Parts: sequence; structure tokens; C-alpha cells
Amino acid sequence: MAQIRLKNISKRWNNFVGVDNFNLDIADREFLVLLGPSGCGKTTTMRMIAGLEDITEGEIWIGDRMVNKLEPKDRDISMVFQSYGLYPNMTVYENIRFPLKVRKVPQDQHHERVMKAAAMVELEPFLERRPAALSGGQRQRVALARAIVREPNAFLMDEPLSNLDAKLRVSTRAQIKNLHHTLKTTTIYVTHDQIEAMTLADRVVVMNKGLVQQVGTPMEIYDRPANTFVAGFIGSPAMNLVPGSVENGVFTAQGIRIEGLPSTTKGPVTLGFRAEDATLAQGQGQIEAPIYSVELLGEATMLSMRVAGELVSIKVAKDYRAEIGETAAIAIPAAACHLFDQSTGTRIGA
Amino acid sequence: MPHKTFFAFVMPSLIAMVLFIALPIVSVVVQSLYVAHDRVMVQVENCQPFGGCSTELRVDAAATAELQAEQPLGKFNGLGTYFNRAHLAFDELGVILQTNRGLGDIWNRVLNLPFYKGLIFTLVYCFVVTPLAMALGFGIALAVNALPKVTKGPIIFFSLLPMIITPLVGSLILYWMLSPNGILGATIQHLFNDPTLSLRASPGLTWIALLLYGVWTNGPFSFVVFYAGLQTVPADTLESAMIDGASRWERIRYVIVPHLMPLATFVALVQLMDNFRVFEPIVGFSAEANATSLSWLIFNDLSGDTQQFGSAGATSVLTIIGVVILLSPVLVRTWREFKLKVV
Repeated sequence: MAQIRLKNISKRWNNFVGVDNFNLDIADREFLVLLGPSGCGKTTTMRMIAGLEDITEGEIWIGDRMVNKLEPKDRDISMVFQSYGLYPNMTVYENIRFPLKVRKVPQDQHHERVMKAAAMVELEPFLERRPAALSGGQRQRVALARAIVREPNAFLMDEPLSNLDAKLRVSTRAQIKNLHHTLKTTTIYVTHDQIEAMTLADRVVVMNKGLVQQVGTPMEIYDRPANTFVAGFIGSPAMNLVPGSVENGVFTAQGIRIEGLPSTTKGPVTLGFRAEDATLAQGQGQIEAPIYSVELLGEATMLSMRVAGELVSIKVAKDYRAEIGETAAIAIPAAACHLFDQSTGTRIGA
Repeated sequence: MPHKTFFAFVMPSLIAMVLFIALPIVSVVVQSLYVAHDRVMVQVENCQPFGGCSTELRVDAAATAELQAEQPLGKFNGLGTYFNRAHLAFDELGVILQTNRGLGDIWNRVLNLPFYKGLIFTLVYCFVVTPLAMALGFGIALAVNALPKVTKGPIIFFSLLPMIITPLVGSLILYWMLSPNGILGATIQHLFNDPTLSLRASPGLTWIALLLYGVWTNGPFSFVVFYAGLQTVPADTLESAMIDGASRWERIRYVIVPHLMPLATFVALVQLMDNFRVFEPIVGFSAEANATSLSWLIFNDLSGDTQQFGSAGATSVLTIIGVVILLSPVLVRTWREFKLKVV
């Protein structure tokens, strides 16, 4: 087990900045998720930690060793890839055993360790099969077992669930969560799926365009997004963001008026609120606008309305029914509102 | 696809295969069963004014031409050509096996039989040049693949030169270099301190030169195919192996080689076929005295004033049988893999 420390690391290809001045301490046994859209630098960061990508500047420490110059094999980490990275010519058993074989682990330990790793991911019935004869979920479990078998200092997982169908994704996600609980190994997990990030992480790092946008626990990031990018990226649906202005604690924009906001702010702002924090108003609401669409989700009904030029989503009771074009009144508690600077996008207030 | 459409697509290929492959093979098989007609001889009495008369045998050119016109294929000889001294030479082999002074003697005497001399060199050429050329090509492909992008272009061009140069020209150049006055020949003489050592005089040196030339000229083909194959090796698997702890050699052994195996089978198949018809270097090196091949035997039969079509046909048929035997393990394996995939 090990603590991982990233000190001012950057990655540049000529003028293109992949990762810019990344600083982070990852605690021993922590499950850290790097989250962001494609091209945000999350995979590059992980590959730099793995040693698969040279860093332009900065330092990477794993435990008490600076690993900048170390080969991937000497960093004592395991990695799980999106496309599994299995050896197609070897059986499942040989795949799991491979790291022990090439690292010259004494032969008498191989069988026991392979069987133990296979048992942890429920692969015992498939040990004699080749990867081609396995489903996607089984292949990813082989990759997990191969990562486990070495008992490394840290696991790196690069979008390991992205190639799986929705159902398998849920069960494999649970398996990864359980594995981390059992093994308690420091894990860095890359994903663009915020549900994976929310369900798995002890801490989430939200990245965009090579820059860290926010670091925090899933609930911190969900409840108190640091900027409009994080607010718009986390949550399903994403946080509603409406441009307008605030004065004397009152936010106004076309079709929306919310009172009771902090009176310290004045001028143009972006108002944020989550779909589930809004409710149908019994009388006059903060929003009164025609319904743009009604979507039945099963556990709730999602209304969309156009407010100040933006389409906002409101989550209402599952038995609510309305026609498109009907006017609905929506109540938004001031306490559930977030204010962001309209020019920089950063959060206003605590 | 309807059968009619399918046949419309494959018919041009089928016709071409029948015209340019099947029919020539049939014609060669038929030709191999015939030999040239014996010349029709006539007894002529030749009387001199003062010397009396004598009888002598002369070729009846008109009768010979007439016979040739009547039976253009020649005289039917059955399998006689296949068994004569110039081909399978069963009688001569029997004598050699019965009366010999050991393996060395058998070897030397078998090498005096033209077909076996050609066959042995052809097989040695196939089984030495094919694996070495593949290994060389694979090595160059690995090296080029590891180079920075800027240097790749010129190095690839340089590596392909042996394939671009016409085999006859390439072998001639090497022959001149290896001749006693050439840079390599003179160096070898100097190194072994033997002024008589020359390519023409030494069968061993000739064979080595031909084999080295074969590896040099065949390497680029393997290189091109393996280099293309290397671009398809899954990066994730290679990186997995790096993180798992595999050294560069282990990554080649456990990831790259298994990935390229189907390609290697293809290269082996093509190069075996190519090397089995080795011909140009023997001519280029003027190596006929020390090394011949099956293709050279056919060429030899067909060149010169007396073209021996029957003999060339028999050697061709034996060459075809040789190719089939040589390729059968690879073809059987490919067929088995295909059947497995279909199942």
C-alpha cells in the first residue's frame, strides 16, 4: 500500500497542454476517481503515474520513492485497461499468472495466488478458457485478477467499465467497490461517467482541458460545485444554469425570480439549481413557463421548460402528468440555489 | 448471393486459372512422357573413283523432319524420363547404396547426379534462407518500429533496397565483390591467408555466398510484412505487459510473436514457394559447377541448341510435386484453423 503524491506535474506536446500543473496527494488506501470529459487530461495523468507517458515537468512520488525515471514495471503498480489488455494466446489461468512469471516470483506460490485472485473475481470456472471465449465482463474480471495477483502498491484503472453493457457495468462496478473494500489498496480510477465516480470514489478530481477544476468527496462536489463546469458535469440531469442578475438578494431573469439569496452579491451572475431541488408550486412559483417536454423516467417525471433562453429540467413526482405547452409553476428554495460569476464561472460565496 | 451472380464474378478468374495454370501443367505432364525422336539413319554406299566403295550411316534429314511433323510431341517414353540418370536415377542410386565407402562417398556420388544435386541445394536454400530471412526481416521491423518518426522513412527505403534491385543484378554485384579481385574475395583470401581461395573453386564458399545472398534479398519482404503487422499489435496489451513486469524480450516473446504468428505463417508460405524456385543467383554467381537448383535444371534443359522438352517437363513435374510436399504442412494447418473458426 502506498501514498501517491503528484507535485506540479505537467504534460505538453509542443504547444498543446495535456495536463497543466497538477498537484495532488492521494492517501494510502484511498479510492480516487479522475473524472472529466474526453480530452480533459485524466488518462494522460494516469499514464504518467503508470510510467507509460513521460512527464514534461513535476514529480511523481509513490510511497517514499520519486518514480519519474522509473520504468513502469519498477513502480509496483497494476493497471486495468478499458480494452482489457489480455494476452489472447494464453488461457485465463496463464493471463493471471503472467505477472508472477515475468517477475520471477517463486514457482511454488503461483498456483495459490492465481487461484486466490481468480476466486476474488469469481473466475474459477473459466480458468482454462482463452480470452476470446469469454464475455466482456469476464474479460474485465480477468484483467482485475491479473492486477490483484501481484498485490501491488496501487491499482490504476483506465475506464475499465466503458466497454461493458449497462447491466454488466453495474455488477462489475459493485465488484470493484467490494474488491477495494477487501484489499484496501490505493486506487486511481479514470472515468468520464459521473455515476461511477459518485458510487466508487472516496474523493473525486474533476478535470477539464488539462486543469483540475475541483477535488473533493462525491457529496462535496455534488452539493458545492466549484464552478459552472463542475456544476454542469456532475449530476443527472446536470445542474440547471440560468444567466441573470442579482440585486439586494433577488435573482431575476426572463421568466424567473428568486428572493432570499445572499445580499452581498450584485450584478450579472449565473444561477444554478438541481432538478430534484425544484418542486411544483402550489400557488405562484419562482418560475412560470410553458412546459417544453415531459419525460417519464419511472421513478420520477422530468419536465423541461425554457427559462431565460436556457432549457431547465425539473424532477417531479412519478404520477405527475401534464401536456406540452401547459404553463407550470415551479418553486425553487433559495437555500438550494448556487450563484456563479457570469464571466469566470467560479462559485460565489461559500 | 445468387449462384449466377457468383459465377459471373469468379468466371474470369476461373478461365484465367484454367488457361494459365491448369492447361500449362497438363501440357508439361504430357510433354514429360515424351522424348525427342531418334534421328532416322540411312545406310549410304559411297564410292570413290580410285578408292572403291564403302558404306556409311547418315542422318536422313528429310525422314527425321517428316517423323517430327507426324509426331510433334516426340517419341512416347512413359515414365522413362523420370527414372533416367538425369532425374530420379533409381538405378544409379541403387548402385551407390550397394557399393560405397561410407556416408561421405554416398554424398559425393549423389551430388554427381544432376537432379539430386539441384534438389539438395534447392532444399538447403529453402530451409536455411526462409527462417534466416524471416528472422532478419523481423529484427529489422522491430528496430525500425522503435526509431523516431523522422528517421523511419530513409531507413525503410534503405532496408528495401535488396528487394528493389533486380535479383540478377544484385547477385552479379555480390559475385564481383566475392571474386578474388573483389573487395570481399580479397579480404577473405587475406583473412584465411589462402591466395587460392575463390568462389569459383570452393563449393562451400559458393553455397555460403548463395545462402547469404538469399537471406539478404529475401529479408526485405519479411521486413515489410512484419513491420505492417507490428502496427496492429494492440497497444493496451503491450502496455499491460510492460506494467506486469515483462522485459523488452518478454514482450516480444509473449505479445508480439503470438500476435504475428498468422502473418509469419503467410510469410513462410510465400518465401518457401519463392525460394523453392531459386534460379537467378545461380546464374548471377556463375555457380553451376558447385550449386544448381531445380529451376536451373529446367532452364538448362531448355537452353542451348538441343532443347530437351521431355526432360524439362519431367523436372517441372517433380518440382511441382516438391512444392506440394513442402507446403502441405502449412496448408493442412491453415485448413484446420479455418475449419476450427467455421465451427
